[in-house]
Amino acid sequence: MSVRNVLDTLFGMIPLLDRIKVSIEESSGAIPKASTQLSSVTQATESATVEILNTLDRMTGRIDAGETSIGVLRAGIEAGSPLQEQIAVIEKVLMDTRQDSMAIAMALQVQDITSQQIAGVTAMIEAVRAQLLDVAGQLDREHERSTSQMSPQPSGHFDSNAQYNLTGERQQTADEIIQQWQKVHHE
Amino acid sequence: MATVKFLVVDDSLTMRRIVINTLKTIGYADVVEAADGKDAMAKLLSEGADFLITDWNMPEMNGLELTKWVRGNAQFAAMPILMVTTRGNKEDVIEAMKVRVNNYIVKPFTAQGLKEKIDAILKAGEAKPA
Repeated sequence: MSVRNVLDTLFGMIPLLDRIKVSIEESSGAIPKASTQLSSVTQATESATVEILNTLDRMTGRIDAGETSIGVLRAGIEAGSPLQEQIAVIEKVLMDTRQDSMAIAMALQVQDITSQQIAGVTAMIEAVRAQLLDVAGQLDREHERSTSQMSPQPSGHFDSNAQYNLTGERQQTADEIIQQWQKVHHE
Repeated sequence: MATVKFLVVDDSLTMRRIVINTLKTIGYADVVEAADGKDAMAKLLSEGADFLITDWNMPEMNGLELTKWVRGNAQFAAMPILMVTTRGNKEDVIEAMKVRVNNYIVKPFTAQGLKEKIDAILKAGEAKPA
């Protein structure tokens, strides 16, 4: 290959590198918007979850009031009266409703767990953005400034491996480790 | 109603509400809350508590750092600490035990699970009711 051919090839690469640079800029420019949208999802689910918990609190208050009234009714009715059976039915309904309300509240832990997973994804895409900007910086020295001006990414206040796992296996593993630990350290 | 005063520390408002509601359901109504370790330190110093329930991953100061601070502070060193976290790996549990948490719950937990851990810690005589 002649020197002329090498120079032609190199000059031909310049438009290609420009296109790569523009593509990287566009890709990295879209990431902050994606991060913001993910953050909005977390905020929205937290607001909705708090609304559900508020509703459950009101339900629990009504159940408390119902149980108090039923207790008063029961005291005013003679033992052996057929009404006692009906009161027992109402008491069971209230108790079951209380348990269902509690089950709904406990299931809402999924909001915290998914928000940690989302935070993990956000950190990951921000890391990709940093790498893209680094590459762009090598193509265009101007980008070095924008890379250095990036805000530090939050880290450590989420668990990207968080899982909504109801099997109890992870708790069982933790319990076994704690038992072993306590055995060793109390001996 | 038991007289143990709890401090519930979690950066998630949802989790604080769930833990506090569960505590009330199982008979503990005296509860203070904090959104991270630094907030918890301030609450302990200003309001005190008998029992600490803390998350691990939090901004500002995490649950491990908070536990180290509590264990290193003569006023609170003997306080029972229950860690409630999504971190369920063996290494995580060991790390928590090394900083001397009393017990460890992996999220998502059940009301019964939380009650059993609290009862076990209190039964061991590690709580000092106000």
